[in-house]
Amino acid sequence: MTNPKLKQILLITDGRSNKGIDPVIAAARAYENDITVNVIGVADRQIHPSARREIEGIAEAGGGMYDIVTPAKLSKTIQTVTYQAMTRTIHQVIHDELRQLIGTGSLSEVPPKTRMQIIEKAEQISEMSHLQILLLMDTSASMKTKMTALEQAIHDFDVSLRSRSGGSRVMVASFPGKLTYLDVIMTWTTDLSLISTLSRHISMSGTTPTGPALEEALQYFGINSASQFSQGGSGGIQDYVF
Amino acid sequence: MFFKADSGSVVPSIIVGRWNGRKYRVMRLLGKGAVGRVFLVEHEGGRYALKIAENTEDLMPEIQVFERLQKEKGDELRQSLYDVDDAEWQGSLRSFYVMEFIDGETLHDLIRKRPLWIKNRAVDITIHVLDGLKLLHGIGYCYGDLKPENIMICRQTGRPFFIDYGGVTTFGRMIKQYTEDYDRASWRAGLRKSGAAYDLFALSVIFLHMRIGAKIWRKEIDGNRCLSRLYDIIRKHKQLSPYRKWFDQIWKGRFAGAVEARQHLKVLHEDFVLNKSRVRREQSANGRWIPWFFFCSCAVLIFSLILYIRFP
Repeated sequence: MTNPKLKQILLITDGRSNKGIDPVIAAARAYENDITVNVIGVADRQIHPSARREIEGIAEAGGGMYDIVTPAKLSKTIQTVTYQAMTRTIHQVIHDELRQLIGTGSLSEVPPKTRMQIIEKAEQISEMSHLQILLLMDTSASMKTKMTALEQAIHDFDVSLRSRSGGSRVMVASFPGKLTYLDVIMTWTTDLSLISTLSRHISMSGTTPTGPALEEALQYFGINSASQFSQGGSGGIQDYVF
Repeated sequence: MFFKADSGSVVPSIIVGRWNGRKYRVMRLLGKGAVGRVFLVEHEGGRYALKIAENTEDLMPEIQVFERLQKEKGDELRQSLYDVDDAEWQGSLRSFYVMEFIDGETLHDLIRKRPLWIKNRAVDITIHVLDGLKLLHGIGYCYGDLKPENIMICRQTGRPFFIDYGGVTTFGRMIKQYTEDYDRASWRAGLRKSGAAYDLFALSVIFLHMRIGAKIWRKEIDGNRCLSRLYDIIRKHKQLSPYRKWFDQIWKGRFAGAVEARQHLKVLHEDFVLNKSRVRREQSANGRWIPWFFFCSCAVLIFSLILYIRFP
C-alpha cells in the first residue's frame, strides 16, 4: 500500500436541504464508491436541531467527519475535518490488513512498540497520499454573509495543501446551480489561489438541493450517479435475494 | 468513523497498566490537550503526570517523540518518560503514558496573572525555549503547535517546559495541529510546512505577546491576520524596539535555526541592557551639577546677605 488515492467531498452548508433526494442517501452512495463525505455546518448562532441531525446523518452515511462552527472558525475546521477523515480512512485500511494478518483489527491487541511502527507508517502514508477533494458549497441566500469567511478559508486550505508532500487536486462547486443542481466554480486544479470571488454565485431562489447536488458531484469523480443509483440499487437487492 | 467530541466521562480512581502492570492512583485532572486528558497520579509514593487518550492512534506519535527525546543529551524543556501502557476504561482499552510531574503554571496563565514579571523575563524564557527547540530540531522534529498554553513555567526553577507533544511533526511534512494566532500560514508569512523556521515564527509571536501583555495583544491582533500588521505592532510599541531586527530576521526566514536565533536575540538584549545602563549613568553624571550649582549659589547668596547686613 503505497501512496493511495483518497477521494473526499467536503460539504459546507448552513441549513437543511429542502429539495430532491435525501442527502443521507446520496452520501451513502458516495461512500459505496470510496468517496468519503465530510460536512461542515456554518452558523452565526445556534443551528436548528433538524439541520444538525441532517449534518450528522450525512457524515455518518458518508463515512466522514462533521463539525458545526461559526464563520470565524471555518478555516481551521476545514483542515481538521479533512485530515482527520483522511487519517481515519488510512487507519481503516490498516485495520483491515491487520485483521488479515493477525486475526484482529484492533491496534490495542498489538504491543505498544509494534503499534508505534504501524502508526508511523500510517502518518507517512497520509503525508504522501494523493488527495482528491471536491468542495461543495451551499450558496443559498442565507450563506451570503459567510462568503468572505469562506473565501479566506479556501485560500488558507490551499496553503495547507501546498504544504503537503503528496499531490492533491481540488474542485470547487456550488449549489443550487443555475441550470443543473450544481455550478462548477473551479474544475479539478492543483492551484486554488486563482479562485474568483464567490459572492457572485449566491442564489436567491430559496431552495437548498443538498441531496441532488451531492449526487451530481459524483459525476466529477467519474461516477455516473443517476443511472448507477437505480441499476446498482436493484442489482444489490437481486444479489441479496438470489 | 464518526466525529465525536470528548465526552465528560467518569474517571476511574485507579488506572492499571495492561502490559507493565503498574497501578496509578488518580489524584486530579491537570488539563485537557488536543487528543487526551492529563491527570496527576500517584505510584509507589511518587507523583507523576499521566496522559490518556480516547484513541490509541492519537497518542502514539507523541509517545514516539518522547522516547526519541529521552535518548538525547541535555535537559532542555522535557520531562522524563516513566511508563507507556494501555488500560481498561469504561469497557474499552485506552493508551496512556506517564511522565515526570512538573509543578507550575502555563505561560498563558502567567501572561495574564503576572504581566510585569513575564515582560521582564521574556528574553530569558525565549532563550530557554530556543534551547528546547534546538534539541527537538536536532532529531528532525518540529514542535508545531507552539503557543503559551503549551509552555509550562516550573514553580521552583522558573524554567519553561513543553507540556504537549501532540503537534510535533517530522521535518518536511505538513503541520496538522496549529493555533491561528501563532501559525505562520495564518499570518500569510509562509507555508504550513514543518521545519525550524515554522517554530521560530510561532516563538517570535509568543515573545511579542509576552512583551506587550495580554490586553494590548488582544486589541492589536483583532481582525485580519497579515504580516504587515505584525510589523506595525513592533514599530508602534517601544518595549519591542530593541528586538525589531530579530523579529525581522525571523519573519523573513533568515535564521538557519534555533541556535542562530538564540545568539542574535542574546546579542540584541545585551546591547539593550548595556545601552540602558550607560544612558542612565550619563544621565546621572549630567544631572548632578544642578543641585551642586544650586547649593553654591545659595551659599554665595547667604554669604553676600551676611556681608550686606554686617557692613551696609
